[in-house]
Amino acid sequence: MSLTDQVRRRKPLAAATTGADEAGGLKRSIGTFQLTLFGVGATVGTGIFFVLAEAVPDAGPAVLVAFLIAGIAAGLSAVCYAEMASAIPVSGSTYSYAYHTLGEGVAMVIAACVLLEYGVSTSAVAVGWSEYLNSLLAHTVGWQFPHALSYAPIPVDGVAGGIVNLPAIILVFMCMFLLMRGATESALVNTIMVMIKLGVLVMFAVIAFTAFQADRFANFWDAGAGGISTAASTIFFSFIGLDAVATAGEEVRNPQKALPRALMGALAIVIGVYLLVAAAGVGSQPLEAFSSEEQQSAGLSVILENITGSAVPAIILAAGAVISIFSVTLVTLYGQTRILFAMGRDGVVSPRFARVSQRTMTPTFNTIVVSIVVALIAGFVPDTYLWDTVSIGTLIAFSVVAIGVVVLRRTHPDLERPFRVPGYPVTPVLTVVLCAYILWGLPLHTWLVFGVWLAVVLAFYLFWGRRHAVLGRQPAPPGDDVADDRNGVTR
Amino acid sequence: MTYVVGWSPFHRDAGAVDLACRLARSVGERLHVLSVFPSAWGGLGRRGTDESVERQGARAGAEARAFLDEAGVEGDVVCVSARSVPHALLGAVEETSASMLVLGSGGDAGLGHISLSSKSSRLLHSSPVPVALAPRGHHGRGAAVTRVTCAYRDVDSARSALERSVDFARRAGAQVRVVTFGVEPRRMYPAEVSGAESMVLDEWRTQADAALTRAVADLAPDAAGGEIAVGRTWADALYAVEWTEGDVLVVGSSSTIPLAQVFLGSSASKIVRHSPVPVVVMPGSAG
Repeated sequence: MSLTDQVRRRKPLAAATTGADEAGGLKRSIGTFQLTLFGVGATVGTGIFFVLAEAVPDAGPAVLVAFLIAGIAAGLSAVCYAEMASAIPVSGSTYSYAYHTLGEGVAMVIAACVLLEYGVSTSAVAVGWSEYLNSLLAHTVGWQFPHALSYAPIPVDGVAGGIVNLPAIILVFMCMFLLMRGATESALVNTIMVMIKLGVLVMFAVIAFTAFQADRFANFWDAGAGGISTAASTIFFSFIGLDAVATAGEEVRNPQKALPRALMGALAIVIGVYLLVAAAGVGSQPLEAFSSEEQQSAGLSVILENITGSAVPAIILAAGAVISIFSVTLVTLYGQTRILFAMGRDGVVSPRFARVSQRTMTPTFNTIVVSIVVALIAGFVPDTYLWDTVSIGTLIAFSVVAIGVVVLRRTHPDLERPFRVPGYPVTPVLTVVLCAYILWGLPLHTWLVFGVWLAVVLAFYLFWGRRHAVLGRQPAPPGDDVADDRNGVTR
Repeated sequence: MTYVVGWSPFHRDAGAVDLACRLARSVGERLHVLSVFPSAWGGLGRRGTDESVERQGARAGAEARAFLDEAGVEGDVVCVSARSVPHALLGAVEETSASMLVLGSGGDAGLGHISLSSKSSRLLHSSPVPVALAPRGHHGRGAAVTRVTCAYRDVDSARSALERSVDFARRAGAQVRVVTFGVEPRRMYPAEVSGAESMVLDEWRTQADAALTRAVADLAPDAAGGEIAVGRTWADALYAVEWTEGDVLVVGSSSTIPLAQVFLGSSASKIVRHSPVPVVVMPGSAG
């Protein structure tokens, strides 16, 4: 088989759609409200706890506009994602959708994006956790991890680095052990986490509004389109997760109604809370304060402390962040292992990643490898470099999903789609345009990191993956939609 | 060879002796039924207590004897006093070179279910011989053991449990069935990853199936075959296979290490708790 054929080969759609009812089918048991909470829970993660310090210096008061743009882009992407997930009900990730619609080559590009997004965001989240943990420790017991043990060795903006970010590494390994034992965040825990997160954010906004001065919004547009785009690209990170609504969609009663409602509901809540936090933050202190050294870590806590002069609100906020970010780390680490699992199953990475421990029914080898890599990144790379890298992976993955929606509508117009994108074809096109606009704002070094990573993944594919892909080991299906049974082809 | 039966003089449930009779009849063993009283405390009121205890002991002994006679099983019925029930039972196992210890269920078990009392848990962890556990209200002394179901998992210790099950079934003239039980992993919903756990469950099933086929071919070539039973909960998983009156379930106890039980409960102990039929727990030392 020639390289072009290998790159272009696709997993048959028929296998996905006819044999899709996996493991006896899941019970459709989730309602709109719970689904909305899933969306909010997956989205309001860590980003908002840190992003102001990164984004305000770029966009000034117009950071509000950047929030709105990033939010709309995330919302549109999630809508496209939802159609894809409902049309191709396969287990896996964005990578799997690309494999079914756009071929193995594009699937590998998406895999690179999603792996980067997940791996790096888990690390970034862990780094953020470590900052808030230190803030909490310092305020309560009067001791914190020494500088050398709480910062990565690479200096940021002239601030000296430490040796290693120890708390972040500890967090990743704690999550690893939980995942290996099969622990999960239940719906109840998710709800509690949502309440904690929203609670502390609203508390922040209320307190910050007491120091509000309208003239801090003067010269609103000074940063210009470039500044807004740069800020939006950083902020986009904090909206990632909205498509969790779509991934839980397979268990939703009446998806055509519940999905868009839950998506819109979650998006409205998240944008609302973020705008509130951003407006309160910008109104509460001069712009320059955001770039000050003390606000580079555990920023929201510091703002609260400056306003009230008391440590109590800062302690509450830090405690909320420490608790909720823990669960975010668990979920993202889990996501990363499952993406590699899907790839291991397809044979494009070692099948050991798809080995399941017979004892715990979890992919142990996979979890350990992923955790070590994530822990290394978290321990040795500062978070400033991490946020943008997450955004680039996600934005490209989402653009491809939007393109995939269009491609699939054209190549398989009759495919059953329990959920269809409203406003087709404007929605997917607008998604791509918005994603491209935000991508444009990303700094050069992020593109470089991404380019190198992509080259590594593609090289791996060229020399190893394409020869070991399960799809290549099967006799090539004569047509696209030949009804191969699942056991034959998709395993 | 002998089976030792733990027969509480204060019992409210005859499951243990009932199961022991059934097993003994099936494989032609004799029984050593042991009732253990707490050693006398001394002091005031001692005399009255001793008398009532003796009466209870005599009653329990007579009851056990009646069971044995009815089932046509040979054996002796003994009543001793000791400080620790598990200790006395283990002593009897050693004395009679018994090949199995048969116990009843704790009083809080639902009818037809097994629960592990503090004494039986201790015995499970320290017994050098297999421990048979009767569900509460077990009533099957008339029936023979017709099928031995081995709960199998692809870990080394499970192979020795399977070998012993095959051996036991051969002596009882029963069929062997090998089942791998599993519960659906609980799900999370990370962004961009869908159906994560059905994917893992699928792979688990494929891998468990291959291991099961290998194990059956290697160790139990006469077995009726292997099955995989998965449910949302352990109870569902156990009810996903059909059970008949002549069934006995065998599990290996390697993973019932104390730590696992205290913290999370191992799969083996969950299988035991949800089993609708008597269970024989093979000691883990071999694995």
